[in-house]
Amino acid sequence: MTTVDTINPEKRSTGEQLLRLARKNKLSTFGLIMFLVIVLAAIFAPLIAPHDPLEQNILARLQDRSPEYILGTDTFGRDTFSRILYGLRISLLIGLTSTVLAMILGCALGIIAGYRGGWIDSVIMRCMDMLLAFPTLITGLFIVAVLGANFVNIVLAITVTILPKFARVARAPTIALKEREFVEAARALGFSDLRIMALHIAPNIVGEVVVLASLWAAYAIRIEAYLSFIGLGVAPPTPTLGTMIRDGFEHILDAPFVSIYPGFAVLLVVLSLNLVGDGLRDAIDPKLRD
Amino acid sequence: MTSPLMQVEDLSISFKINDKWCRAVNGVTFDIMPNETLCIVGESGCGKSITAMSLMKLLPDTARLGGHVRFGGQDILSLKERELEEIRGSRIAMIFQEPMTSLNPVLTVGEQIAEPLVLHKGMGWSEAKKEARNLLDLVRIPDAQKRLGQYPHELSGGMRQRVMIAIGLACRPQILIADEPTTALDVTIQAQVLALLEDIRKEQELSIVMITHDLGVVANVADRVAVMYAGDVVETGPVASIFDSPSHPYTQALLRTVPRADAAFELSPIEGQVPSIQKMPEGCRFAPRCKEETSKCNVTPKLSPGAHSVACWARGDIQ
Repeated sequence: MTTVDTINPEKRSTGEQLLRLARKNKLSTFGLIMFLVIVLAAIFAPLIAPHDPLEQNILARLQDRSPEYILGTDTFGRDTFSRILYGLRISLLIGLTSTVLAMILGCALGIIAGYRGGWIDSVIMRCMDMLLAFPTLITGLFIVAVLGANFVNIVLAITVTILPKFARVARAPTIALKEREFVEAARALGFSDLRIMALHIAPNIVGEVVVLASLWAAYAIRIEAYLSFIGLGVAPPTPTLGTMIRDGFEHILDAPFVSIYPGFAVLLVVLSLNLVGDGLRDAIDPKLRD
Repeated sequence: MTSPLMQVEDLSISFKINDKWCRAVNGVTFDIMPNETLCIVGESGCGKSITAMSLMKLLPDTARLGGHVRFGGQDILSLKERELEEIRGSRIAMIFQEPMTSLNPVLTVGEQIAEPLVLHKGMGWSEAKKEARNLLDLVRIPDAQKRLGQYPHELSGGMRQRVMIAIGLACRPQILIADEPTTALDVTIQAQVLALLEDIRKEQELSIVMITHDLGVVANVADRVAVMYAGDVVETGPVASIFDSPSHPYTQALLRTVPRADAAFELSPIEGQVPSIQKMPEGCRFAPRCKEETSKCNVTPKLSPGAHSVACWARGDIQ
């Protein structure tokens, strides 16, 4: 405890703490702002988009940037900028939903495995190891190929591929935490195992997990783009970033911008999430905190 | 004479070590009377803490328990986990040795005091928080309202132990088990915490089972004392009687290791070590370190009847 704390035990308000963090880590703040702008753009896509993303204008196909089409048009003459905005909606929705699902399920499994130990631990963690043994893209591909490509199955596929990572991250600290005296004290107060896991152990690991969640959300968005790129994404004509990149591939030599702009959008989303993740990691690292 | 609140009968606890069952606690019997402080004293490793834990059946599944712990018409040792959860924290509570680690670092003090109230008394969180405030007043923490919103790392050691006591008292238990509650605190804070416990015991009419190896603490707070050695209760009786006329050679030796202001004598350590749980001597477990060892000592002595009883062959009225 620092002297400041003992002299003045008044807590700094959460807002103040955030502001201090923001000032210390400018790059992450920039990432956060970028991510928020992207999310807002996706949410308000119908208001921002200059064109209907599905409206075709064959006469204006494969155009480069112009005042009419800010980021040009694709092979059917659809406005790339509008399609990116709508594509972001699907990509973000799939990426974030699957990350949150994987985080909740993975942490639950990891905490149960770590807390219970013994054969329960072995069964859960060996299953997770099995999932990890396949390259993530293969697992995702397999699930989508078997179940069919639609929104729910894609979310499921991405959830399953990143879930074992969360389980591992949650399990290790749980093993350390369950030996701590406060868990014993909680048992002495008559708290059930479920209550201890959910209300006493989970809050202790939430910091670490959220950091990784922000990094894996970027990864999830990339997997969605991969799957769409190889044609296992949400069915056309619904725009997603991966599908748009693929659609432009046919004209990669004569009109490269059709693929490049949506690719750039993926880059921005992933980059912003990675910056946020790095910042969060620094923020919860006690060695870097003052 | 009032009837005891809790009766511990022939309690034994064994652990499996290298495929052999080893008895860590060897048929311990004692009563806990209403509104008294019972101190269990002894060296490290003589089974005090696991005896205390077994009063709430808090031991891991790997422990094998024998005997009975009768409380409120039930035998604690035969209850199911669900039934135990209803008793723990609500009718029997426990406070631990290390106030630094016994509180959850990521929950506020208020939340931690309120949670047992929400669980056991069915209070809403806001009502429980109000009660938590009263509890902080009860354990004499100044500026209670502000403390409720603070995290354990913002409090000092003595303050944290007071919070632990507040959590333990939250549901008005009948028995409070305190496992070396003052060991981690410095001497002045220790005295304050002991005085606080004593005051609260009188106000709330609860019984305290205090586990300690500190005879100074015993002299301060105990009504009755049970001296444990290597898993046996070797002597038990009212505190004055134990200090004035210790009977068992182990108790006598223990008292000679503590300096006293009111009597001048040479301090002398007890030779040797508490025997390892895997190599317990036959019969009286203190015999190998005892200066008064007799030929009978290879048979386990029983506690003599009466208020001040002792388990030693060298002391008269024993079968």
